Amino acid sequence: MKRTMAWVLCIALTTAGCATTRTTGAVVAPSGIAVANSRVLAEYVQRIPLGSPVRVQFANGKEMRGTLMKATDQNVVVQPKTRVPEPALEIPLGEVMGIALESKKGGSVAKTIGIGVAVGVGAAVGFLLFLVAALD
Amino acid sequence: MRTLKLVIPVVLAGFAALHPSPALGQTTSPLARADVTGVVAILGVENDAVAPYVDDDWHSSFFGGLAAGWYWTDNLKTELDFGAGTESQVYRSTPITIGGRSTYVSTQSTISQRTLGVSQQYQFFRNVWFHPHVSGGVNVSWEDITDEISPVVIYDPAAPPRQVEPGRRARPRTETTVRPFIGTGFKAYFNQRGFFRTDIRFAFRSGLDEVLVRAGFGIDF
Repeated sequence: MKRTMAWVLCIALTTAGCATTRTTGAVVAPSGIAVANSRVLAEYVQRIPLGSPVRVQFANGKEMRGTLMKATDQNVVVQPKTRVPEPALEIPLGEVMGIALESKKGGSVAKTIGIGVAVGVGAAVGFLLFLVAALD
Repeated sequence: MRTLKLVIPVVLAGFAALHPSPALGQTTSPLARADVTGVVAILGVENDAVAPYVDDDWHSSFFGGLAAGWYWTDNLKTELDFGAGTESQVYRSTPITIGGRSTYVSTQSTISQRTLGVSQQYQFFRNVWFHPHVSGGVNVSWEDITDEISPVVIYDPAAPPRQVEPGRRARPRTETTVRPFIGTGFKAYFNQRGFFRTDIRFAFRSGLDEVLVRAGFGIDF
């Protein structure tokens, strides 16, 4: 059992990238492995410090970003990272394909750049509109 | 007319086929119920004039307006917008023959336009800071046109120029036009409710007939 766990852990950590763990799809994997992977995922999630920004990938292909608020054997509670605050979501681990730890700094910088670019483009367009109309 | 036939089903399909995805325990009621945006824009309209000599194929004007939208879901919004433009001028020259002599009638039209549009938008993503959108709809334009017609003068090499018709100002008239349009743009939020918005839309009648580029600020309710 320990060997199986070790193999599963190694595969999960090496295939999913840094600070990420994924369950293999229950549909394609033998049920024993799927159960083991869920357990690995639960153990992994419980070791992530609460308050960390995470990206949750769901079995149905959807994805969400948020802040990890609680993690148990059965589920995780994540506060979604949204523009307008929303209630924290309790997500059963069975619905989760993987959870990745996100860089706090990167997300914030990306958001700031995105907003800056959008506002800059908008302001430039607005100014051009004004110029074109004034010169017409 | 073909464009209208294409746009209307797309708009109706937007209502019928698209619905919110209540995944991840999201609430089904939209995050914002409505929004209002004040916009400035540049409006370019293709000239209708059929005269052989027209100074420009398009006339443009500075445009200001207000748009109000109602969210049926987080992604589907119906929007009503109204705008009015500054005056623009179109010059055209039409050849005529008087007493066997060729000459021209020059007309300078001053045009100002008001537009009322209704559109259906599909807004991508939910509760994020940047929302692109696509839209389709119909706008009604009222063009107030005043023609200044120059005096008609016949130039004869053997005689001095002779004015055969005085210059005059035609009675102002208003032309109403309905055009289907498609558009795309984005909303970029700078706080939870306030946003900057810009979009471009293309209206059709006989080919591309009108281009409107708008930018403005608004708020969600």
